[in-house]
Amino acid sequence: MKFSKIIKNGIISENPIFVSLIGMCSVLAVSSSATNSVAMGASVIAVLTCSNIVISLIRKLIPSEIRIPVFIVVIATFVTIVDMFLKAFAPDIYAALGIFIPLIVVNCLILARAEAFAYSNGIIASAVDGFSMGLGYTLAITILGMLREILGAGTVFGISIFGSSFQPAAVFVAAPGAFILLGILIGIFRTIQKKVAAN
Amino acid sequence: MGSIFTILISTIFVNNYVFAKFLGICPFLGVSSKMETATGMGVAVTFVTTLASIVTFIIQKYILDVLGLGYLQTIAFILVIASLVQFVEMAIKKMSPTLYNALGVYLPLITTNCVVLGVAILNIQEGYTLIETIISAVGASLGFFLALVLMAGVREKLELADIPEALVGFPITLIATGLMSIAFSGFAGLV
Amino acid sequence: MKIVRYAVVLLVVGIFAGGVLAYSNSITAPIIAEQQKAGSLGAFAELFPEADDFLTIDETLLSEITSSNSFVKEVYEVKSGDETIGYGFKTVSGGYGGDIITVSGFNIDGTVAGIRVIENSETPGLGSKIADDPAYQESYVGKSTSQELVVVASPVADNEVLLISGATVSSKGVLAGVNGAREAFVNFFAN
Repeated sequence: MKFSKIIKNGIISENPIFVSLIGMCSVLAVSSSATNSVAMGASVIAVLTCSNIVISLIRKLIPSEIRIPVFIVVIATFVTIVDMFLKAFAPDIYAALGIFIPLIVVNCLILARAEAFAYSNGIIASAVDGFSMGLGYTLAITILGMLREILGAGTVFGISIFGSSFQPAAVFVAAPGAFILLGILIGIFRTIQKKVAAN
Repeated sequence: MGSIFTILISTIFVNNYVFAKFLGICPFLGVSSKMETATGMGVAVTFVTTLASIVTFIIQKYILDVLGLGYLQTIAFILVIASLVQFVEMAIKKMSPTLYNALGVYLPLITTNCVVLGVAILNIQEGYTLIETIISAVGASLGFFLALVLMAGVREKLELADIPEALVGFPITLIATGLMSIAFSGFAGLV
Repeated sequence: MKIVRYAVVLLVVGIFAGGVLAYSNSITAPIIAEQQKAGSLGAFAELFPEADDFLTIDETLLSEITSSNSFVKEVYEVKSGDETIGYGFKTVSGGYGGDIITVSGFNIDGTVAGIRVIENSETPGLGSKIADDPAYQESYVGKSTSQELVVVASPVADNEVLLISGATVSSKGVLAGVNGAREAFVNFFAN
């Protein structure tokens, strides 16, 4: 398979959030600000790329009957490493992302890529797949995070953009806004994809 | 007693795991389209979450804490949950084929349901006792159950509604969830 | 034979994972501990600019305080040269989105030296103002510790501090912690 196709798959045609709708919990929860979204995206890219590489590397040694437990151990190991390093070197971000770092373990996106791609493909292809799926996830969560922050707090990455007269609609940084905005974004993404396909 | 009641109300309504904490969204979107499947999943989750919370509590307190291996928490918990789900599946299959027929298909999905792992980790972080852990697990799963059943009711009606083409399916479900989440935010301040 | 092979593979993977984690834990654990200590002491240094040392108080006194006061977790005696100029408290109180960790400093003359919210999970843009909005933390400075503090929209009196509009629960969460620290200060340290 061509690398360009794998990359396009991850970011657009099989975008984990907008198209496949997997790994939604963390997307909704940590997208309350753009900064958190980028940090979460980076963590997912790290875990997904590393776990894809390792699983692809050892795929011939794992009997298929016990592949799921092995995947889980590999993923959990990388998640714990990310958890430790964030806690040590970026405590502010660690505090903001909270429980959603350990919960990357059960993010269906990671397990799904291990099962569907890394277990049956070579190391480099798996690394590219992990990275681009992670990038697709990061782009989606960052768009959502920026929109929520603009509408709900009047800022982007913590920088005020409307001045003090702007009255933000706090509902968008709270839970309900996350659901509603993500629903609308998926609708928009679908419409665009359809228009592009029709041309 | 006071704290037990508070934990129960808080986990079911105020901090509902689906509407306020965003845990368990995947199965929530996946199985809430019909009332029947929603109930099946709800029962299975309640069962596994409660059992998993008790087991992980014991592992944390008597193995990880004693040996100073707190950093293995994530890996230990997820393995416990995965094996527990497997074990429950086998046990139910043997003991009650009827129950197995009803719940069987949902059980494997539960391993990747973040409510189970989320509740287990949060219980430890909150420093709950065993009793409080059980109550919070029951409350969390009842809250999840409630969200599923309510949503299934809404989605059965949505099937008949005239919805813009781009929003059919998941988008409109997410928007409806958002509206329900607004309703649930009315519980804030209750505890 | 198959089962043995499975067991061996799982064991090898498990040992390898454990080894990697133990190694990265040994790198990060000291940094994490350092950072947590610097977190509260750094905030105290901001509150008491003229301080040159922060001493942990006597263990028995600390356990006496924490057993009668559910908010206070750590207490420091603030020194400038040989002189005790105040006391610093680290408290944990409930907010809207979870626990709020606050450090409060009290001058020996019975006034509030200031507060800093060092950890919170409040709603960004609303409740998070307790940590981000300097005006909120500033409103505690110089208030009297002789009576319980209260939050109001425009503080004037000696015991009134700012209530952030739209973030009542968060404002009151911080206040509860500071009042807990104030009570411990008045009961155990003030003359």
